[in-house]
Amino acid sequence: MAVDAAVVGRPTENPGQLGRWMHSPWPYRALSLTILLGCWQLFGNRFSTSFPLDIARALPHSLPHDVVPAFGDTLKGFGAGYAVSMLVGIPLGLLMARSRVVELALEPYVAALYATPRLALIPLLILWLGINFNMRFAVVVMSGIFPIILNTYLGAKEVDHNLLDAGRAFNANALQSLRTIVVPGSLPYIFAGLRLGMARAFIGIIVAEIETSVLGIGNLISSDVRSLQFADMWVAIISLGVFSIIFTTLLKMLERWSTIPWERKKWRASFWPLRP
Amino acid sequence: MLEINHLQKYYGNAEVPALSDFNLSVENGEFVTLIGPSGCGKTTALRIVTGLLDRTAGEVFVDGKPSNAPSKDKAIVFQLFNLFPWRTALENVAYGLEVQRVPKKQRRAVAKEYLNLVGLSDRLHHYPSQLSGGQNQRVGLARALAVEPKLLLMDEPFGSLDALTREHLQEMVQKICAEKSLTVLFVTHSVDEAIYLSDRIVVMGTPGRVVGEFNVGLPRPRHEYDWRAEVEYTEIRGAIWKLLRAELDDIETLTAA
Repeated sequence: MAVDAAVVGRPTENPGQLGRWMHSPWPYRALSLTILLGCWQLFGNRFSTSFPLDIARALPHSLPHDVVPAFGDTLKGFGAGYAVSMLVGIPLGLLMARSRVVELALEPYVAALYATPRLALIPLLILWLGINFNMRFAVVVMSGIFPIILNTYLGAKEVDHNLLDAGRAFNANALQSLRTIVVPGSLPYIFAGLRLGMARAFIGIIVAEIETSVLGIGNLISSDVRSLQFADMWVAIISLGVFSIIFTTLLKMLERWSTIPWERKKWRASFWPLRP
Repeated sequence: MLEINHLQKYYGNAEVPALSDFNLSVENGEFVTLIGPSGCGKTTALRIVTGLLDRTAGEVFVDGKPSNAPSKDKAIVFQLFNLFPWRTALENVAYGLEVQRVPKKQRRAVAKEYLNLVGLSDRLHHYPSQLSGGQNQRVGLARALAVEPKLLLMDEPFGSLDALTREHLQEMVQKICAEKSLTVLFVTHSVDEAIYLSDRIVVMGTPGRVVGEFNVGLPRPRHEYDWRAEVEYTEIRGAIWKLLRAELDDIETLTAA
């Protein structure tokens, strides 16, 4: 940043609208997407199951009538499960980092369950909880909570000891240290856990829906395939991707907002290239 | 004001103590400096007084009361600032009062006042990453002063700053100490810094004991005249260096053997 300003004759202060566009990632993303879709449309064959123009044609009907209601069902399970993963996972991770008893008691289970492919438990969960909301909720929690616990725990352990000393020297008690030092100090790790947990939770619920074929976007995809509605299937898959991107971006925005407050202004300017 | 009796510290299972029978008393309003080669235990002593470190044996009294943990009547300035990177200068300075549950409006007013005192009234809402080393240490100083401690502890506060900034901050500390008549226990590696700031200099040697004490009678304020031209400065400096050189030679023979 300092280097930019030092380059003689380069107008860094006011690059103009075109200049701002060239520095933003969007033109390049649009270009690569156009090429990708163009190639698919021109050179695709029957193994690609459908074509971009067919998918675009299927979109106006499929999106409001099939995809949005299915997403509603998926999001109910995902939202509830992810919220619980967050509300339980973060405090549990902090507790593990700050209390030796809890750490010694829980660390082996968390580490082991984190490494186990937990989707293997889906058939068992179906047996226990049936195929409705409870099961999908359980799958999401089971998939999402361990990355959140583990990352929060590791982050809270990594917090700079010098800062904890400073807190102690100024008489902060354990709870105050937690709130004013441990939590803000481990935020980057907590957010990494939230992002990882989100991805896992999302995979979990889609797999569960494909497995049970009752509700949700996973069910929509598998039933579209069974009835050979490939354009509709692609609409569902693409909206799944778009949703993940939006959710991840929101998390990333929240993360940058809360972890690097001194860059808020600069970042806002780069994210919205055409803002006055 | 501060009374340290027979303080002793062994780290873990170490055979050599970091402090062996360390004694010191500091009067009200006195500026006392601990100086000595690295590893002589001066920072250990300071951390024990602060309450950040357990002792093996001995007693510490502040204002006649035993002092075993951090308390409101002590505050510390760290060598590496130890400011909270997610807090602005103002929020950092208000930290001590915040954990004492002083209402927000009041603690911000106090923090502003002390940032003003250290000449940072135009940097209230800057984060540590946006400030220079010298500015950060002034925030660190303001944070310690803001809790209005009876005893101010400073652990090589200017050790990581450049020479010019260091002189500037030394002068600032001298002025503030005179203005607020603070009691200070200061740790440094620099003989000149010790002479310039102190009423009394305690020379420490390994393992963790006092090897000499000097009263500095140079009139204050010392920034107003060429204190280095005074005979007393040359004498004290020579005497301290003689002690330190003997200590350093000891360390060399120890490591050679």
